[in-house]
Amino acid sequence: MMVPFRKAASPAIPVAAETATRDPLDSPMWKDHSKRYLAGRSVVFDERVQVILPPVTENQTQVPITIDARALGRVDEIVVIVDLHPFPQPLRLEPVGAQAFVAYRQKIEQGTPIRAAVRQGDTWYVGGRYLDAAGGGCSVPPAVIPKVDWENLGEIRARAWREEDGGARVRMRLLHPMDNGMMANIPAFFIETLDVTDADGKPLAKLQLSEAISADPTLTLLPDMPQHGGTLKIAARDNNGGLFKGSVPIPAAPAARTREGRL
Amino acid sequence: MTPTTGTTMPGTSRREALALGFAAAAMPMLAGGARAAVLKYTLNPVAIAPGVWTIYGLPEPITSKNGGAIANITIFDTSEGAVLIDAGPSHRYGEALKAKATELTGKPVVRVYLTHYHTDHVLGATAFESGTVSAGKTLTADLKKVGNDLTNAMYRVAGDWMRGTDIPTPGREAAEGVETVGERRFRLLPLAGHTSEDLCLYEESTGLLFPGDLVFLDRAATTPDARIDTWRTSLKTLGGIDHKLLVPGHGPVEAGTRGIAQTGRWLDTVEAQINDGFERGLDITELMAVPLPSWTDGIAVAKYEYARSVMHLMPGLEVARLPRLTRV
Repeated sequence: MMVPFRKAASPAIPVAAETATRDPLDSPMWKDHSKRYLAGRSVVFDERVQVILPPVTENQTQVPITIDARALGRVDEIVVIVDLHPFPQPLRLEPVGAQAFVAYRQKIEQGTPIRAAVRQGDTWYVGGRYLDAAGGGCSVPPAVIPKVDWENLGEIRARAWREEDGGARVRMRLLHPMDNGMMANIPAFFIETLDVTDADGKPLAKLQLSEAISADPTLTLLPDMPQHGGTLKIAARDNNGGLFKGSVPIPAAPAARTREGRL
Repeated sequence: MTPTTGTTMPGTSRREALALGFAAAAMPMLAGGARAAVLKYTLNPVAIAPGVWTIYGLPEPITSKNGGAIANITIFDTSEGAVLIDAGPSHRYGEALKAKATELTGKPVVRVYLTHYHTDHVLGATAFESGTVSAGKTLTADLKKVGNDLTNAMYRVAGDWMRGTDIPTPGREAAEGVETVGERRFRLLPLAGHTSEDLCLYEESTGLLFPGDLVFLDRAATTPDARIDTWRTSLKTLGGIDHKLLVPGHGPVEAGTRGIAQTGRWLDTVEAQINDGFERGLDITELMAVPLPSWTDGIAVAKYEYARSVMHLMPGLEVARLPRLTRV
């Protein structure tokens, strides 16, 4: 929040808040968030960065969101910023060997702008949309608190597809409560990092997740085809130091109708 | 009329308080003369049989414009008083419905059957004496469990139409069997699939069949609490009941079984399209964008309900069908 009566230090380099472009979503938090997350580089609003949201918020604890910036080509970094949220940065992706695309689900505390800032070199390209939602996805205990399956904590379910463009697609679901620490007597317990690599451990996509990500994180990524071996490896670590790993075989050929329905 | 934010309602939950807080912050933008008129439901009963009227719901989602009046509500005249099938979306609707039923029949309402726990069918029940409101055991239990969430959601979506609306507490239990009110004989048949309990009714003197929301006609079926296989079994059961007219939960009253067939076909189509998209690696937002087959063109809110169904059904597929990786 703004601190009254304190003059902002004059920055040596232009900060995002001073961009000439007006925030298309007209959000009161944008100035602060852009300073906090994007400072030091130029920021432009660009429609090639797409944030795809459902037409209605069906469940505030599991809102499906897709970030698609493939129109920009290869990018260095994707940061999702949710303006009105106790954890405003749900996800950060370095698609080192992957396309500028991620689909995931997160908890939502109230109606809010949801943006993706996509960095290419020294420029952040920002796109976003407003999500309408009721309150409470982060802080209101559900009527029935779901039981955590401690026995299978960190279990990974995943499947890979070979895409017609020569790349791969991987969908995964990790068993984890992703407790955000806002419910009484339930401490924060969540997956912080998740890496997708090739069989030799060469990184393809590096993700940072936060408390905002929904229980049992479910993700879709578009890694490049590994040069050796038709396998993707997944490795995740939670804030208790728990390590969860698995490997996913990539089919030798694209299945029928692979292109259909791809965004 | 702006909501009063200075007082605390009894039983106000944190979620409600948050919603109110946000509404108050947004108020300067919303305040306008256009919203100041007192909201009033216009009920237009259509005679469907001697002494029986249906008030058609709008083929729309619940909005602050329609006040949630989207479900079909039916009024029976009997020698003992009026009997209602479902009660509408709000206390205000229930009051208007009570007045309309009394106007049509010249008698008080003596029985209100609730078909299932969704808001557009049950929340009007608070306008009627609890002892006249009849619902299945599961419905009554569900209202107790999630009623607060239901009313909260409706206050948010439909706004001031909901004023005075609370959680209904049915005083009568509707169990399988025949109940007689005056000259009318209602056969009660608890089924399930659209929700955990869907009460179906067949009235013998008129041959009217009320499948609740197990049947939608020319309006897309909703699936937030659905178990699709159970729903299909229930449709089969309904298909075996001889009737003169079928009164779907949403959509036109008709002779024949077009509604049963169409609901079955909708469920098959949506389920197949979601299964297929999952197998081809699509995530939820991608699958929502896949167009529906052309036969659904005439069905109201098809795209919207399909998108909701993707959110309802996809997580189950991910749990069941994504292969479990061996730990490395």
